[in-house]
Amino acid sequence: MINLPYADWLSVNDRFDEAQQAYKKANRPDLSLKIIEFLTANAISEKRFKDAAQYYFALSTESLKLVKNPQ
Amino acid sequence: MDNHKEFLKLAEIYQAYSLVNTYIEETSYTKTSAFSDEVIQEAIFNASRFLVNNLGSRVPNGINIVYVFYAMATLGYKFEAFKTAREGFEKLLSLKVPKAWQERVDIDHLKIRAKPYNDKEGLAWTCNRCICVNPLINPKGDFCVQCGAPGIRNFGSFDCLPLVEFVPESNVPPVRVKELLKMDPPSAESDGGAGQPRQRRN
Repeated sequence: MINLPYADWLSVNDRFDEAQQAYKKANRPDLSLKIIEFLTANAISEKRFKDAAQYYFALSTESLKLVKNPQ
Repeated sequence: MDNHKEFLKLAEIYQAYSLVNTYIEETSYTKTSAFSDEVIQEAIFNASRFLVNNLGSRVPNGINIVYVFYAMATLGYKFEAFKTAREGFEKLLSLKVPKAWQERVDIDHLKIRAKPYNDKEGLAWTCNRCICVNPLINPKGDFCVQCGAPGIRNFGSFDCLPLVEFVPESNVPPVRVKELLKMDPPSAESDGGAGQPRQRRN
């Protein structure tokens, strides 16, 4: 119940990795994926390609989890 | 599921590109010696070949294709992989190269015409499944041209690992599969029977 506003608060305060975990706890994997997509786009535009690779890997594992639990 | 595969491929592509990007930016704007090591240069050459093989028709955001071909061409020239280097320079001709590099690219492209149109032996990747010697670049994808087995790369130096994926028959139980894997292959002297289980140290 409290996880969703907490996740919003975390993302407003630039704590994106924690926000992503909180969205997952709040049962909102769509918002969690959105956060990673946003982080990936930023990493690419800032030429942090290693981070981009890491975020894409996270995206791939998250999308695999969505397949296992279709809701 | 398709998303998963595409994201995984993009993750691999960006991992390889980060290496190429750092190399190009460091060597063209500063004079550091971090990339003078031949092992690191070979890793970058492998990474650029991996990118050429895998990019295909993809144009991922932020990836400068000129950097990829430039790294492949100049390092290919250095490692005497003249065929690969020549293909890289020919691709560069159709792309917009930064002005500072234009003269060097033109001169190197002329120089490479005097070299034989083949790659140095020993650089080529041998498929571990069918022992077929593959060309250094295969723009259709990162797989063996003969049997289609994918090359399994190590993401530190981007060379192919001697691994072959196989699936045991469904009627063999997993415990038996493990036992069979621990056995020595049947030797030529024995009559084709299974070898003795090997003693394994942990």
